[in-house]
Amino acid sequence: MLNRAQLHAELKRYTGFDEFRDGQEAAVTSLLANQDTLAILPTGAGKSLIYELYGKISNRLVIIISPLLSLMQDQVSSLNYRGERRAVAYTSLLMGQDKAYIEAHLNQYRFLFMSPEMLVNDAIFNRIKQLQPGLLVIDEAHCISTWGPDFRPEYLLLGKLRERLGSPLTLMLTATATPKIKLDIKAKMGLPDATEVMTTIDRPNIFIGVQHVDSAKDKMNHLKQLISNLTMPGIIYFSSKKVANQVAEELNNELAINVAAYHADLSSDDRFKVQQQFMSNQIQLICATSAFGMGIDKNDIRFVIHYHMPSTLEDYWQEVGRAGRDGKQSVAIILYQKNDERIQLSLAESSLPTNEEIHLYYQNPSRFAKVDDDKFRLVKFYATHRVREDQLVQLLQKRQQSRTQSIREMVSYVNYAECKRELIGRHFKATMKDHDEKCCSNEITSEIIESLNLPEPAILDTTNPVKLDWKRVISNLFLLKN
Amino acid sequence: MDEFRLLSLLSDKQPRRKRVVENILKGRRTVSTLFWGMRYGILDWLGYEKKLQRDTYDSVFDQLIQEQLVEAVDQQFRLTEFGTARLNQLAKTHYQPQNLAVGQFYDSQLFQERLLLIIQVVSEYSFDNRQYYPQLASQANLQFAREWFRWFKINGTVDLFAKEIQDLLQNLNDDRLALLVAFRFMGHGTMGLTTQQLAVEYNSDVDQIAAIQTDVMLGFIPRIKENPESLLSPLIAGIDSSRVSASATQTLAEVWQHHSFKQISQQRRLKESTVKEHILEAAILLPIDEIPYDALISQSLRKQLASILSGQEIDEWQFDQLTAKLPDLDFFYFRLYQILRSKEHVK
Ligand SMILES: [Zn+2]
Repeated sequence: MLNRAQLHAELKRYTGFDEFRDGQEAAVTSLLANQDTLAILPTGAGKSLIYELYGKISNRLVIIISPLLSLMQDQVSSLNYRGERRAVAYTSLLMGQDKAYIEAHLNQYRFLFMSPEMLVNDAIFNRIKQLQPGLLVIDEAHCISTWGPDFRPEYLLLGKLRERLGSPLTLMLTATATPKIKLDIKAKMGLPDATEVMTTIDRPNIFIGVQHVDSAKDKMNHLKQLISNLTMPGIIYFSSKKVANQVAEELNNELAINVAAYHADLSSDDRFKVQQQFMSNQIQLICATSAFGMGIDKNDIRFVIHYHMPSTLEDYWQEVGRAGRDGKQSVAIILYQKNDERIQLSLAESSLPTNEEIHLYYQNPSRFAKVDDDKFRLVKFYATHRVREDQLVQLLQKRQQSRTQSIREMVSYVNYAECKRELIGRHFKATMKDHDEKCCSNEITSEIIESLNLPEPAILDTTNPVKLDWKRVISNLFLLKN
Repeated sequence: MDEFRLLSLLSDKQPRRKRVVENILKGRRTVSTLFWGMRYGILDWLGYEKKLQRDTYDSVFDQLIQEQLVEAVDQQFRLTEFGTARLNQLAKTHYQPQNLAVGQFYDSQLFQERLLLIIQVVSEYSFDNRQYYPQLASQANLQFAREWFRWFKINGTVDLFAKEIQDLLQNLNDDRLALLVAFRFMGHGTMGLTTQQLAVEYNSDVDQIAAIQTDVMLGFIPRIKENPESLLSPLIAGIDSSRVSASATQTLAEVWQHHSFKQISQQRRLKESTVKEHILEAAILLPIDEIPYDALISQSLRKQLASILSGQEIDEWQFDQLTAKLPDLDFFYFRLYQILRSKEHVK
């Protein structure tokens, strides 16, 4: 067991940092004392440092279970960026030869990112068991809770899998968890006594607001008004790729800033370019679906606007948290038109299988062997894990109710006339700063934005690369020695 | 998939099957698709738009018919005079891929990923930077880039590398194209431009831009091959992909060793019809001298077929018409003879 000075020395040695961020030290210390740990830390608090440092100190294999493929790849990239090459994402997206390559070199990796389904595979499971992982990390651990909005049935397997792995030391990570969900996570993982590490969820430097609008046109006008008053860089979130594209195009044409859309339809090449251009301020504004920002390590984002509100307060607070990581004054605003929640409600409905679809499946599962959409994957998952049809119908009904409930909570937040921060605090059972003039508002005027005294904008790179000729592009690319 | 692409895949003389053109673009490798793809001379487009949707294809097709650019001839389709004129006009402003054939013999995805990755690696190296986000690439290619880079540090210099890239672009003899591709490259402080950003600048669309970039980069492969000293040579090692499936290649090797269809089908537990499909696939995709036609189809059968079919266009031969005179004829020999004659004809 390391003492505090030694721990700081290791931090310096492996990461170059002098200080831990809030919550990191407590979590690492708990793990080093061999205690299973549930860490609830806000987005951007540097959750990955906890297992990264533990892996380096213990010099043993760390398995990180993560629900989102894109997120895994981002995490691997950022480990690579910090010089750790022994990190890899073992996912269903891998091509045959890549998969074989990773499997053949499994013992050479220190950080192995996987989705729960991949861990279920017997061959790989046994190999991992042989390697005796030093730490099992459950990222986005709230996905295990049926109460939560991001519930993933595969996560239910993790409790058993952990046991079969020989009950390795376990770190459960999440950014958002109500008290009910916390209990549920620990219960489902079979770790009721896990140590809890928590920091405040409040982000006092972010002003939060809602602007009600009357029509789509009104919304667009408000958006443009806001953008002209706010300081770049910023992110606008959408529920629809199509609308994200349209708004990006319109803003690009009308404003003197560079705007880009970002969503799953972009090629990986283009996604990488958009991220890098945003990081280096060549792009100042991103019109994104929620896929954007997970792996982005940019601390001077001055505003997050929601053109469409998200479907849960948990998602909302995570996305808000991408602004102002440098601690300077930042802004988060939802533009809300009455009945906007219809998009979310219909999404919630259409993404779950109907009773009829469930019935069809149970009658003749083989007929669906080749169907591969999310709905049927869900049904398949339960059916293969011996859940009866009537049980599943009930379970999904409950799930549907809990989703609808979350969306209603979001609407209540939008319509809440008192201090919005206080409502967020109540939702997460967390202490928040008291209301003041830089706290929140239900109407966003230019005066309010002005009174916030936003910091100077990041220096923008407005050179137009298209004016270059290709020889210049090449010579810029390589610092030629002659 | 747009008007120009579809028009360019149809002919004003030869009526063509709507689904064959669609399946060629999608990369469906049934013998019938491959055979007609060969007859239409569009095999190099095989798999050019793997994600093409039936709805999209049909709606473009219907539009062409409606505008009378294309007309139906016995359930097949042909360009009208009007359609030919439109095609020629569109060809002036549309990029026509130059390196489709290269794409049939190499894994272009793998090649592009490798090239983009090592450009980034050398760029960062030239700025003495070791901390950066590598571009997204497969594990195998990341590993390739590491090994290549070790080799490069001993055998090359940044100047030589940059010169090679420059030469590849110079060789295009088209500054606009060169710029379009140069913007795909990323490196230290150079973020490139996305296809969307380029589409706005060039007043084009995203798919068109991506297609041009891919085609130009494919053209690099033969250039690299010509130069054994190239620092890029390792990039093309192991990326050649045979047009013929592995299983069909094996069947063909066994036929060359005088194994009978029966032997092959028993040994490999394949249906005899599958073995024959392998032969037809190989015959369509490979040059004439790589297929043992003499062992496969006797001179006497060839003579019989020639006399019955004399005076008819190859496209119009009908199997039914033969079975009246040769009731035991297997469709396999009919099709194989058709392929043989097509290839002799081209020669
Ligand atoms: Zn307040």
